[in-house]
Amino acid sequence: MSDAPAQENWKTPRTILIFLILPLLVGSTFAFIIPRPQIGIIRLNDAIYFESADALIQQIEHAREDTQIRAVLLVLNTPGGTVVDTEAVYLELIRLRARKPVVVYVQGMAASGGYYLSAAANEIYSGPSSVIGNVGVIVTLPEAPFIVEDIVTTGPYKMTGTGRDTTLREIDVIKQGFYQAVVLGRGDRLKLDVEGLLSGRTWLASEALQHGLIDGLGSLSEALDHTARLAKIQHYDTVELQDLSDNPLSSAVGFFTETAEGIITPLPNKAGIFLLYIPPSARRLP
Amino acid sequence: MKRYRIYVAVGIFLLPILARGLWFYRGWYLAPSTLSAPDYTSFRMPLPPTNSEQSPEEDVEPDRRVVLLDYSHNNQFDFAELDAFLEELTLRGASIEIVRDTYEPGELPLRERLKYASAYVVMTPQASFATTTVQLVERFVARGGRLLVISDPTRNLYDYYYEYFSEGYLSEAFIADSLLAPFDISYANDFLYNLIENEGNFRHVFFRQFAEDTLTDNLSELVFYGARSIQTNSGMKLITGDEQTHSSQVNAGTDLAVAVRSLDGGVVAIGDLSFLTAPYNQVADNPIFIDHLIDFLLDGERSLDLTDYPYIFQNSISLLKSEDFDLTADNLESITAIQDTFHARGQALVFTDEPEEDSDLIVLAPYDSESEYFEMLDSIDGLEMPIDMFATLSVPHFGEIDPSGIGLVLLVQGEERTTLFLLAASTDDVLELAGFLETDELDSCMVWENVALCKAGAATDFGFGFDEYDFNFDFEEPLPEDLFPEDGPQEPTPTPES
Repeated sequence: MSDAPAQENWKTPRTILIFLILPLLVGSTFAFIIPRPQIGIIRLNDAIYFESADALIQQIEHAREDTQIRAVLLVLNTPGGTVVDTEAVYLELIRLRARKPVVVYVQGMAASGGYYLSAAANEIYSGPSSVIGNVGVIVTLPEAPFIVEDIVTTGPYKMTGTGRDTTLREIDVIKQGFYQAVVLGRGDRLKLDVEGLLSGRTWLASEALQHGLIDGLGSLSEALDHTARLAKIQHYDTVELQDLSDNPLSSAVGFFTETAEGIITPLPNKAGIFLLYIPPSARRLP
Repeated sequence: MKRYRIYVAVGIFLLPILARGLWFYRGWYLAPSTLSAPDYTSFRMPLPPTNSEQSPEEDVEPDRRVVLLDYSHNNQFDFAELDAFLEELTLRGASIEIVRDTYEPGELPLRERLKYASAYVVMTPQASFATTTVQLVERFVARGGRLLVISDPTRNLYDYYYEYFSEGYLSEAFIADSLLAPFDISYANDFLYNLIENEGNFRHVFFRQFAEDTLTDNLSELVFYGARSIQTNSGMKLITGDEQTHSSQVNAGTDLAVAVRSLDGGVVAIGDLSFLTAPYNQVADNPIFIDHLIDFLLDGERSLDLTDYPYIFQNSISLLKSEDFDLTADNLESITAIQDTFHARGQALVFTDEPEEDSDLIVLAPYDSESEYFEMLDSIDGLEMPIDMFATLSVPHFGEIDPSGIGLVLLVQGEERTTLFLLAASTDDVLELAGFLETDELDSCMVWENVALCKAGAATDFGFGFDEYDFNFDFEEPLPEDLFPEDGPQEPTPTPES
């Protein structure tokens, strides 16, 4: 008998409107406050140097601050670049990874500095024939200290900055950082021993997978799915972060040497210390 | 009752929110707990191993031995790099001669220099060795000369190959191989590396495995800063890498040698140049090894023979003539010319009847002389002088010879002195034979070790010479009828149709 009045009450249109339809409508409206998750896509089809690194860092910062962006897919096709710029981007990726998953998809090449960046990612995927690895540092030794009549310095290395032997030893320090980054990033997944990793070899993605340098082969959309899995999201949108950042895509002209005929060579246009893969066809550093 | 309706309303309100949330999100991202960047502050720059406390020997050799340093094969080094090494060589008593291209004015050819040198050093050559040069060097080593060859994988020459229309590095290993082939030593076109334990860089390799040899005495650790491996079957692998040292050619390998000594001990090949250059020459036991190399270059026992003329004399020279030798205005001129020749080379030559005890000798005499110095010739097996002008001369390696018109040069090396005999049928012939002393060459003579036969004077006709020869040559051209047989032209050659 006691339930009868209650059933009676639900049957009145007014009650249904106030306690069922209205909350449903308001709740549905409020539901749109929950944003559709996004996966930010950062693309690098260039060497890593001041301009391209600056653009990457801006996109990474944007991804870190934007709450709608729940994960980042870094699509790489790079032979690497300068040490300082590579390390700068790497450290920003590490910060980002602390808040949001970062996945790398190699679409062509992630060599040297490119693989350094990849080491910061939660997971690495690649197209089957992409080129991976080339862990190591390359440098052109500076001139031996010299003096000239018209330029007077206060120290023997003022002109050259450092000695040839010192440079050789300095790049070993950089190599240690690179090696540690890979070991920390890949953890137990890495199957290569020290010799194999530091040999500087490039590997086809299928080989790289066997050696634990990457996590899987597949397409870009599969890599997106893996990114969503790590971020625990579904029905997501993708957003090209390059469009959102202030820095437009830089041009490789600023880094590589251009011949008189206008051909861009795979050689950097000035001497320095690089995390860079230089193809065998172009052996001479400046 | 009313409270119940409120619960329901709240639930219905939350339902689309939850549904949308679950539609998009299935949980929260948890960053890996072990996530970290490398600790860059913990990395340290590798420092070179300290210099060995054992200082190299500093005893100075009393006699200055000549060490030839090749610079005529586009060698890829600067002399400034080798300052320390060359200075140490000089301090140890060596006289260093740079062998440059012979087309440069005043340059003695290598074949001349090898006559008096103790050692020949070839570093990072980029121009091919002629076959004759290889033979000269082989003979030099066979007679106690020392050969040190150094190749270095960092000294390959970047060049344009016209035959292949491409650029690339030309390995100097192959060039050095041509010189080392007679000694069963060859360089690999590779470099050695060690990724596990190295001196600051993978190509800076420690070497701690040494064969027992004077060159490796007291060595415990060497560092080579870019070395290539060397193969030998018969020789000794002096220095080899450990099991972590690999060759770039195969990315593997054990016992890879970077220094090898030939079977006879006269040749040492090393696969690195940098250890001779500063500052790498002061690292680990490198200075001791360099010291041993200098010993190797200076300790060879060169044997000299007639082919080394005129560098066969070590002391001042006394020129002696036999008693039947008349000193006339003509032969005085010849002898003075010889004296001038030796003076020009910095060697004193005196014309005397009584030689000083410590002087070397040149003896001029006819075959039938009764010179007291002919006793020295008794030690030469198979040598018999002609007793008269009709007798034959018996010479080791050459047999019985008609002595007329032939001069004999003999080198006798005693413990106290070196004596060179110039013998011929007559005193005039002896003086003609002595003419070669002015030219430094025995090219016109047949030489076998310490014996040479040269033309001196004219041959005597003993009845079986030109008079038996038919001098009636018929140089007339044949007449046309002589070219065809008497019965006319031959049948034409049949063709396939016929």
